[in-house]
Amino acid sequence: MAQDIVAIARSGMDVEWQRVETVAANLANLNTTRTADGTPYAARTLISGPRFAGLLGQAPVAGTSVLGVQVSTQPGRRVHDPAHPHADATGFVTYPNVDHVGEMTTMLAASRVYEANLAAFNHARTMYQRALEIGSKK
Amino acid sequence: MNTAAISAVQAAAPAMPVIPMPEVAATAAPGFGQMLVQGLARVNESSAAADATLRAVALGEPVAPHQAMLTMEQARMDLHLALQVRNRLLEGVQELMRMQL
Repeated sequence: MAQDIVAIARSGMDVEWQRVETVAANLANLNTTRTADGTPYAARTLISGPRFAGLLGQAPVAGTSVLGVQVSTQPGRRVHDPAHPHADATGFVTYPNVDHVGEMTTMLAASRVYEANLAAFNHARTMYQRALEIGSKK
Repeated sequence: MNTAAISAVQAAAPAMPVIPMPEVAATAAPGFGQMLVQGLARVNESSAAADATLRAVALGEPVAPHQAMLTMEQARMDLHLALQVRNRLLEGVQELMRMQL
């Protein structure tokens, strides 16, 4: 059914949209040296997985869904800057553990997957419209 | 009135064969009209969903653009299907009207 393809493509676009949102949050906090609990911002990674129409292993895959957001525990980048208000006793400031290049790569990949889902939807729509032409006199 | 003459005629006439009337629309399966109404209700549903999404976009609620576009496309696809069903139906009716009897 065309509705199924639309739903699957929509789930893919939803997940990739949220992935880019996570990347944007990481990039926005690239210099956040202190959060509410006193630690620097920790990078977030969106984890997604397949969604099934029914019982696992018995039903076909019906798209994808967000399983959760993992907070990175990697140590952050340390910079010697005693004048910084967030510097510790040794004069080091801990910056977030966000991998700038990695986030850009993730963003590009997510945007490509988003486009691929868009293409899947457009093809499904074209097929649907072709099907409506069956038996048409025009 | 002389009923004897009538009964005599009736007796003389050959028995008319009884033509069984075709059973109209067995109640077990949903009729075509019912299916049509159900389909129209679905078209109405998807168009209402598109309406709601557009309203959310207009109100500045955080709706991802693909959500709005996909809902609208779904409504359009459903409407096209309904239109095609209507076209086929109308063609059939017109064919019947043109039939020479």
